[in-house]
Amino acid sequence: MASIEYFGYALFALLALLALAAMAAPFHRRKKVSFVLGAVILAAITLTASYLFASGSSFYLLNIFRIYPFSMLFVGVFSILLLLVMALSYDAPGSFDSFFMLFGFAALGIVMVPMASSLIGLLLSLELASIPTVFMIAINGKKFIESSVKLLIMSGIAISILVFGMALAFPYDAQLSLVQIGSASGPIEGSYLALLALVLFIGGLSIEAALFPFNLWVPDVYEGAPANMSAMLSGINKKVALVAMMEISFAMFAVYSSTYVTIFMVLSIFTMFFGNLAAMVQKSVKRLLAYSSISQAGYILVGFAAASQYGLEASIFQMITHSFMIIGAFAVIMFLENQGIKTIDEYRGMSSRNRYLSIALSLLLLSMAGVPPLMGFDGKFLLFTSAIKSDLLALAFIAILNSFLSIYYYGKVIIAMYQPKKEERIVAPKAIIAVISIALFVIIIFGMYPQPIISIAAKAASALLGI
Amino acid sequence: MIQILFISLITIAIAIAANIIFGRKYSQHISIAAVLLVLIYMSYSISAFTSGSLAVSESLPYISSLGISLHFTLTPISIMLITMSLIVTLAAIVWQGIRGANTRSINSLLLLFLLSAIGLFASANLFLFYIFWDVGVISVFFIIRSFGSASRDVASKNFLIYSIFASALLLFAIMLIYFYTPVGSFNISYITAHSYEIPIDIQESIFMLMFIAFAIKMPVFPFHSWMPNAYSDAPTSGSVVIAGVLSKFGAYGMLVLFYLLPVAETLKTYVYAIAVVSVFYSAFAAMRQNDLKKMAGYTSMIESGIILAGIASLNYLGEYGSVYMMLAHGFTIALMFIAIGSLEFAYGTRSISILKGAVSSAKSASYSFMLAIFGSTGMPLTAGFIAELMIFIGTVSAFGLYGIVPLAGIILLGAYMYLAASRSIMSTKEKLSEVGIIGKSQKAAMAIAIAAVLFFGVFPFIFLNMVKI
Amino acid sequence: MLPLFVIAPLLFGGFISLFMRGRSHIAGWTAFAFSIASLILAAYEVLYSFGKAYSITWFAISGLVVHISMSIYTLNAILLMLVALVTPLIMLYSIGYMDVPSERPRFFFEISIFAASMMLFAISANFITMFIAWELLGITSYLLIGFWYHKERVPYAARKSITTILIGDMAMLSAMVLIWNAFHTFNFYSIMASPYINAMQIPLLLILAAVFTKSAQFPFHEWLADAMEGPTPVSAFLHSSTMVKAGVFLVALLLPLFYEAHLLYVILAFGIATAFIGATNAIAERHIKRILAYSTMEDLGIMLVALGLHALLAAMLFFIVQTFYKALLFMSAGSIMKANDNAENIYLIKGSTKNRLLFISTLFGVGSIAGIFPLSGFFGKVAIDSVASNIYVYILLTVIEFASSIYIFRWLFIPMRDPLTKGIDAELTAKYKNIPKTMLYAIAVLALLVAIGGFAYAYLPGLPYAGVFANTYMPLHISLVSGLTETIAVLLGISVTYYIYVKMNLKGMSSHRALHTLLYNSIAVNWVYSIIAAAFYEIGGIVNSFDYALYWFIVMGGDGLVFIAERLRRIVNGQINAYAVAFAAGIILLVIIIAV
Repeated sequence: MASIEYFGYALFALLALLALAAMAAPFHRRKKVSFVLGAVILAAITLTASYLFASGSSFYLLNIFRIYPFSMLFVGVFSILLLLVMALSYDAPGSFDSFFMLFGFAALGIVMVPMASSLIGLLLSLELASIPTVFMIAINGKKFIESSVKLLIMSGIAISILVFGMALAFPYDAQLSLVQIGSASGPIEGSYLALLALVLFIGGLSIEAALFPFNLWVPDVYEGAPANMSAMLSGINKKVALVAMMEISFAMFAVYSSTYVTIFMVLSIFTMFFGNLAAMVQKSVKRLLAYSSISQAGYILVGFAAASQYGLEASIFQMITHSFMIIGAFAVIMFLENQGIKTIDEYRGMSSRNRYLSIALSLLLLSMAGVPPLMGFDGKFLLFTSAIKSDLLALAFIAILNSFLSIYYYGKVIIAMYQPKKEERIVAPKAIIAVISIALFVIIIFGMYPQPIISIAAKAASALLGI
Repeated sequence: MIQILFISLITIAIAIAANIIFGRKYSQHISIAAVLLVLIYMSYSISAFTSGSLAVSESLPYISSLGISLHFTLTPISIMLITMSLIVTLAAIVWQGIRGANTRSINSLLLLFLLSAIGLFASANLFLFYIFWDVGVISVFFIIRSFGSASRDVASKNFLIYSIFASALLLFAIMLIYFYTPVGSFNISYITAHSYEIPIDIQESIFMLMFIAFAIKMPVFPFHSWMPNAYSDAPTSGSVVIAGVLSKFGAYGMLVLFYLLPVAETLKTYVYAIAVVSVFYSAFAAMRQNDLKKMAGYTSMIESGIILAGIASLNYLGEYGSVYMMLAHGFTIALMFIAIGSLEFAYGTRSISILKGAVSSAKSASYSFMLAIFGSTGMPLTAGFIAELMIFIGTVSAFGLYGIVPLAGIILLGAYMYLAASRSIMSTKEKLSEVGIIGKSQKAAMAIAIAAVLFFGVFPFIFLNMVKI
Repeated sequence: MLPLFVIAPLLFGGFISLFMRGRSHIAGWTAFAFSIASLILAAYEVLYSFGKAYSITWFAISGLVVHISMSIYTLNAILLMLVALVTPLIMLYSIGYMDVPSERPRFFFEISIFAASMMLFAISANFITMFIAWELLGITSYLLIGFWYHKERVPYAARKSITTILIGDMAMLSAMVLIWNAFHTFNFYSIMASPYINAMQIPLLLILAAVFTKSAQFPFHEWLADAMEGPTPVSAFLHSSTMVKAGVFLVALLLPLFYEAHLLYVILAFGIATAFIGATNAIAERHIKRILAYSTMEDLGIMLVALGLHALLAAMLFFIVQTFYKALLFMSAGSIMKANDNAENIYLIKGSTKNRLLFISTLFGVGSIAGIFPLSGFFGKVAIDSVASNIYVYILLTVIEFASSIYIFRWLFIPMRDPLTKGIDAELTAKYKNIPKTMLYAIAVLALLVAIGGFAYAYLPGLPYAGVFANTYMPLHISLVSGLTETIAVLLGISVTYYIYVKMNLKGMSSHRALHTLLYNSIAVNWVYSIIAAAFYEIGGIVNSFDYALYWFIVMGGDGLVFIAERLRRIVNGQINAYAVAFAAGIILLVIIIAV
């Protein structure tokens, strides 16, 4: 046991190292050094986390971090995703040094969210994860200020609501630890306050997680931000909020499951419909992806609503899947945006301009639409079956319907790309090709053989539920 | 025991990869060679199956947590349909010609579609069935989308809307089945054995969902609106595989469905009524078509109705009759579309009112077209006759005198097709000038389809001997 | 030897001649040689396998065992020999007739297949074999009628015939399916031997419908006259031993079944109606071949009358003699037309007496069709008159005989006139002299057969007839009274015709409008056909607009969804305060959820 704990400390040390590297970046101003340093540290975090995950051990570290398979899975996944985003941002127009400093802190926050053992820790790491992103958007230039301000305001609202929720939960658990609170066991009679606290938590986290109607800022910000930041927001920060939501609901408020099942169901239906319907009439591909990413959050909530081991397993699977898909897709979009290609109309004839990019984007979009044998299909399949397993037939049906509604707009983009239009070829930089290839590799390989990811997700889900 | 199916699937997959890599020059060679190779496997499997020395079940672990494995079974039905798909795809690929346009992308898609067809017809569980279903649909969508005619936008959009709706219903139904069988399972044989334990109202919902999904793909009235445009706007090789193979996805699914749920016994009369309505509806709708391809589309809808009638009779003759009809119709409609495509190639139009006297200079295409008409009216010595005989014996034993009603639809169909033929093929009031000369490869494609139509009409026992009831 | 081999030489010859594109001048001789081989095989078969049945399994599945069954019983032997005899003659005739070298291979191919299908039909012993032949006959006749596809009315005629035949094919298929479900066998003789089932009436009626389409009986008779657009050898073949005979033959074969199902009166009624329609139309028609076509309808009608009277032997006698004289007359007509530059109107055709061999042979045919003693036609007709026990039937038959003598002598007399101008006359004489020898030989042989065909009267009753009810058939005999009545009717007809068309030199019936309409009722029938077709076409229009509406409904549904989406999209208006409001609304929503 002791040797396992050393690994925990090693993880801790790596995080500290990441913070140090981030702080050092603006001073030495060497792009390459920062990048390599960041990559090595993130890779090391991934390795350590996967070792800890594989060992299946569960313990508290310094009373602030909880090391158990659920947290380790997300630490590992998030660090891989962060690595991808960093690679994307390497050639971004803004200064990489200041970007890397902010990125390092954000990464610190992101990785700490799943590990946090108390509400305080959770809140702080969420804060750490979201505030730097505001500036990461802003440093790219004047035209990005608007979306960064929007993000700032919405994050502010989210944080204040979360704090208020914490205050309401305080009577039930003075430690504010993320362990299960008893029903009406605190000094206050009844459970209204606890339920209200739950609502506020869910509402606050829904802002980051982009659930309707808390998500109206999402299209503006995703479209207004540079594509690498959109990738980070939708691929990582959104998942961070969802992870927090899972921990709060399924670990802390488990006794109120019948209540939050309804909430998740309603939110899920709203979110799916909103995302899919609004996406149908978009002209800008980036905005379309923003809406698509909203609808994906809706699908993930289906698993939450199922509120079973199986449902969480499916949600975790889909969260991982979606992160890779959306980062891959935004990578393509980022490159095309830099070429001045933004709307669906401008995507026409893409297949003749760069065959690889168009095949990759087609596959990524098809995967999002849930076409077998890509990973998106497996995730949705798991989600929908989990809903049926929990007797939520209507939800499952609506979700399936939505999932197929989405093919319409994904198809629109794909169709546009394969329309004949002769223009000069364009060549993508290596970093972007690498990111796309990794995402593609993941969704194809694990799409055809999803069993490893399912097992991992199952292990994490059972750890979270304490089974 | 050789695992034929895995080998076949891998062969096709390798061919797709090879096509993408070396396709610029050798696309046709690679594709034809791959299909022929799998055809050889299949002919081996026919003889091996007849003598009882075939590995009928092939399984690999897949998603163990859901109890899903890569599980294929080779039944006489799947062997028939796979062979049909191979021959039809072969004809479609050959039609494109060795020289000329770059066929790399379309061949890759055709092979991908073939892969899905092979997988679907042999899949032993509904999960795989669904996956191959969707792969097939998407590859066909891209075939229409990327290589279709000028008005393909609407056609492909409609095709997509209908297909995804069908897929959604199918997926939902499959999940319902999974949940309501005693031990959640996707395995078709397991579900068939235990489906009586599913409550009757759930069975009815599942039946409805799957029925609509398959009816869309077959297509059957009133779920057919995607069909005329999709058939007419697809490229010729696309039309061939859509009408020849993709519509059989629906028909095969329908067959599986009818033997999956015991509730089919009570619903079969309604289904038969739908089939009859569909036959007459499409026969009448065909009468006002001016586009030969659209006419062929409605023709194929009539045959779909007859297939459905055969399935609805729920007896062995109806079942195997409809399977044989799927086979026969695959070849006949392939021949018809190839002939129409060649006529279009030769004269630059496929409008019945513009084409005149095609037989005088496009002999091969005209005679192929005539043979396709004979085949679809069920002339003996074409495969259609064997199928019609079996189907209608089946329907009569299930529905009595009502069982022969669809035959009147064939009269209407034939009447219109002969009218179309006499206007476009025979009449020479003002002869149209040629814009192209039908080449060797197109003739070869016609020869393949004609050979298939006649071969399986004269030697039906090759397949039927595999069936041991 | 398996009787199936009888058709092998024909099939083989057909395919060989198809590929003789370079040597089309010998394509005909090749086909002829192979048809002789078929004749020899058929004769061998009839001599050595008489009374035997053969069966090979084609395929079997789940209780449905399908055989290819053949038998050489009396009826089979008669038809087989007729076809085998006529085929070489047709081939011989065609060698001279087909003067377009490029089309020869196709012609001899199609006609060989046609003959082969008829032979297969002749020897078939179960429904499957019969149906294969039945449909092949239909398809090949379609191809043959449409042979000169570039002529104006040909596509129409071919389509008309195939459409009518298709109705019959589907009726036959329905009948087969019903019969299988009732008896679980397709074999004719097993079905006739099994105890009768009440449900048999419907399949038998369906078979009758099929027979009526094939044998051009009312109300499916109009295609036959239009089928004259095909080459003359085809008409000669189609009207004598093949195709139209198939229907009658099938009724003869299955007569015990019809008898038991009490359907004979249906056969009788339709037969007599058709005979009447055929005879009247023939009187008013001017097209040299169409007159003969209507005459064929009449002949077939009379055969069905005989069968309806349960007189199998009389019907078969007429069946045999009709084959020879009808083939002969068509060939004569073709030769006369060839000499007259393919003129078709009998008023434009001149000088049919100029070729003596042709004219004498034609006289044999005309005499036989009218029923003049001792030509074979007399025996055929009088044998049927003699069994007509019902007085009305008898009278109608006599009237029809009278009418037939009118139209056939009109057919004979009018083209006999010579052209008025000397120069044209000489030219015509040369043309008559130039009629290819092969055509004339074929005609001469047929004339001989017509002359001696009456001997069948002596042989027919002695043959064994399969079927349990053989002894209840009406016996074959010729009563003196019938013979005299018939002869009087015919002589009356000749004199009337002579008076009207030779003495008075009338141009025809066109001056008598009402009478012409009554006689030439083919127009009315065609009108009814076109009304039915138009009705179907209208229904097609309605269905089609419905189909279009359905399509637009789907498209509109998609548009509606897009409209909703557009509304939804407007919520996101870029105003941060609106987002904050939405956020508050969301929180309230969640609170409401927990409160409820």
